[in-house]
Amino acid sequence: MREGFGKTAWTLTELCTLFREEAQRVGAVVQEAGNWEDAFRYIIELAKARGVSLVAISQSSLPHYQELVQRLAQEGIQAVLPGEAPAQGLRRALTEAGMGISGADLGIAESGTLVLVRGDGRDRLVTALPPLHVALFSAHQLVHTLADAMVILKGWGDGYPPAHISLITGPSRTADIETALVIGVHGPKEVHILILKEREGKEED
Amino acid sequence: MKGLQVEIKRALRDPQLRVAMERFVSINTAARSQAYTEVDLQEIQERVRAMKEKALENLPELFARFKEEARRAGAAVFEAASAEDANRYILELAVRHGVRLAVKSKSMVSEETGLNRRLAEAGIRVVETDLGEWIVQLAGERPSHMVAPAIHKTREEVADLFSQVTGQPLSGAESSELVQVARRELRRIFLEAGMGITGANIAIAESGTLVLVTNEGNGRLVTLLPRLQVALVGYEKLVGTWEEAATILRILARGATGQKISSYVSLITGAVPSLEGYRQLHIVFLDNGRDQMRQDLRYREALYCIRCGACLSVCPPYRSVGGHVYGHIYVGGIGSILTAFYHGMEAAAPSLDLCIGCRACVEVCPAAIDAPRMIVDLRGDRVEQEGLPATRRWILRDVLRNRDRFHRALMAASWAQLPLTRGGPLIRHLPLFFSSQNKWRSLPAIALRPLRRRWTGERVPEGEVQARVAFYSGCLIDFAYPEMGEAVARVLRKEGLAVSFPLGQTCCGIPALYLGDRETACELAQQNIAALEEAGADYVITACPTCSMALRHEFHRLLAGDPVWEARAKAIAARAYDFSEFLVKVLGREGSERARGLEGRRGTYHDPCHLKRGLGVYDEPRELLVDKGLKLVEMMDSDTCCGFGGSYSLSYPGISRDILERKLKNLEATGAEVVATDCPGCVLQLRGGLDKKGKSIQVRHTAEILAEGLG
Repeated sequence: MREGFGKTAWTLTELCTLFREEAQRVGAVVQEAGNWEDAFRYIIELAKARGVSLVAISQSSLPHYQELVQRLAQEGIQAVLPGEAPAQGLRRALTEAGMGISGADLGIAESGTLVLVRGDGRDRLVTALPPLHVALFSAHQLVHTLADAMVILKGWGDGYPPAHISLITGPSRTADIETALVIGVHGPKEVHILILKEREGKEED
Repeated sequence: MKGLQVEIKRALRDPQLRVAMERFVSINTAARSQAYTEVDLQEIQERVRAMKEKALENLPELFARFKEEARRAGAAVFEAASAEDANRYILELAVRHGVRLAVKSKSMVSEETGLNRRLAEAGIRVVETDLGEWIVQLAGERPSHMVAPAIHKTREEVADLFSQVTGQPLSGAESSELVQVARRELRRIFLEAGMGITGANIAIAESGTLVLVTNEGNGRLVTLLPRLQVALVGYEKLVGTWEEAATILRILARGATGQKISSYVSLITGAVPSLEGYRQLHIVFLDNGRDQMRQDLRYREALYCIRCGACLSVCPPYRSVGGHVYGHIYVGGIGSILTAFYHGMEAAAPSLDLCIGCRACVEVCPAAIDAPRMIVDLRGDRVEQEGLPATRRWILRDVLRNRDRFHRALMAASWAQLPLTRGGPLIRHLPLFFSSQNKWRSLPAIALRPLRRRWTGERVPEGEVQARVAFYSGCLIDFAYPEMGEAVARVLRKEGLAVSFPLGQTCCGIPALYLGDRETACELAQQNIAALEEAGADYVITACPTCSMALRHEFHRLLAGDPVWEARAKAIAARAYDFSEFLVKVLGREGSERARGLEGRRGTYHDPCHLKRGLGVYDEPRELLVDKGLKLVEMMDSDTCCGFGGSYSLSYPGISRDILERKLKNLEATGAEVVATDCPGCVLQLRGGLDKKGKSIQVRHTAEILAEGLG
């Protein structure tokens, strides 16, 4: 049992550390980003490194998405926004995109889990179809446990739960052939998580 | 039952299956025990049981609430009484929307209803998208495990199946390449499908929310790509609140794969707008025998099952033969109970016999479901409905129930066996069909002078009498191992106890109970209670944990309908102790006479199933042995069944032997010169196996070891 397990008050730094450890344990890449600019730079570098020329962006879960679209365009990377593309084109674009980018509404530290609430099915597909998923969220959105997250989710909005909430923990995986772990079945093979620490310091204890 | 024996033989002779099962079990067990270290399993078990019990008690209200909330959120909710109702609803829906192709994420309920076949008959193709389910579907088989459906398949077999799909040779491909083939092939199908079919791991009443768990991500695509979504849900999946759902999620992945949480959890409330605008969500709730189960309090707890599959990896018979031998959709011990209600007693009958009663499943189940108890009850129901087979009826009702006749038969057998034993303590060659079944295990000779003939009056200590105890030996000690009974008496006398052997005692009735003959078990319970009462002792001591479990738990349960007998049974239960338990818990460890005699000997301890999981006793015998000077070296899986299981080892010798082989391997790996255990049945099995292998490792009852050096 880890030290401090079961205590009630966790500092932001502790939650960040726990989240990173747990997410890395299940195969996600976790980076802390000082600000949005750092995060955008990371995304562009990653896209270039993977040879991605088309990305899908879940705009309803991601503040500053327009800035990101512009930055990507400057690098010659095209972005598709599910909210703005016609259905048939979108279906195709989503299957061809080499990267899906989304925000996350909560992060669950004890298991390194991303919680996606805002947006609809199209936003979820951005995180489900492309082989690479990049998620950005602010450290302030971290909670400690799944139970903590459930309490927040239950009361989300005006008391009606959002139609499709996704909890994502690491990349897609299977052990269905000879009990051997293989990463990347129907969902992303790679998950990169950027934790923004922009407001760090102000709310630290 | 012939079909079952054939299936068992086939499974035991399938080398690929055996390799696959061993690999799965070792990886899965290690991962789960790792994941369980971070949670208080007992606390979780209590919480899950209380929560599930509450939900089942209020199921009609929970369902009404779910229906109202889900409809408000835009979903259609259909109540299917039978499998056919569910299938027809889904078929009509598919036809109405012109669906030709449907994708499905893993749903045991859809296996239960035979949905794929029903839709296929109407020309609608259903493709399984969980990798394991897809493999099984391509092979035209059934899942052999509820979490890992294709564990029985090797990589080569999968490569062959995938080659047929792609038309490309894939022989020798790595698992990762095969997974990529599945991703490519199934991606196309996902995008074309007009209907997505899922199950649900949890249904949350307060908001009409379905919770869907996958690791591969297929569940998300099935629920997000096709325009039409159908969820097929058993009523037992209902819980009240989101917090309760969190409790289940927290333990589901740990039990299933050792993860803290599965890779993907989707919480779906109503219809979700997706690619082509608003979609439709149809939720089909299935009864198909569930309500009958809920109403029958003996079996209600089977509905606590969250389908994590933790019970399967620890089930010795399942480990030996895999899931297909169970013959139906739901496998393992819990599976045979579900099958009895969902598909009828006839379908469940063979698989009900496969349980060896070791209780390993109860220990790891997040809801501590007592499947072995329910299986015994179902066997009893079956005998009440169908009667006993003639030979079995004669043995149980005409011989076992009549103490004199039973004991005379055993005595006669002890003389009849003489030519076989040549005066030795073990029978190495049995005549007729027995010989082919017992080549792997020597059997003890039946004693020429059983304990009841050796024991006269009360054996009193040298000094003052501290207390009087009645020794309840059980048949094996009485007739095969009287020396164990002598050892128990020697140790107890040294502790200042007067020990009597009530001659009215007879078989504890567990063998009858396990064969479904409750009537005989009740009769024997009464005979034993009367005999033990007559002895008038302060304590009743046993040295056979199965007998102990009978005295402590089964007698009063069997006699529960009769207030007088139930009270008498409980009075005996309160005074009954197993030997090691009694020495440590009642007399204390400080007994000076015990602490010597074995210095320098290397030994290991085998936990009898009914001692550890029936009575919660496992530290006590170890403490006594260490006090005696034994150098204790723990073996791997010391608390895994040895494969004896009483008449089980005669009914299913192949499985019994296979379980024993595994045990002996772990045992030999310790380098111990002596194996201690507290059960004459385990002694029989272990000695028999070691003798046949020509090993000189000694197998002793703890009582015999403690009695060494005592007068």
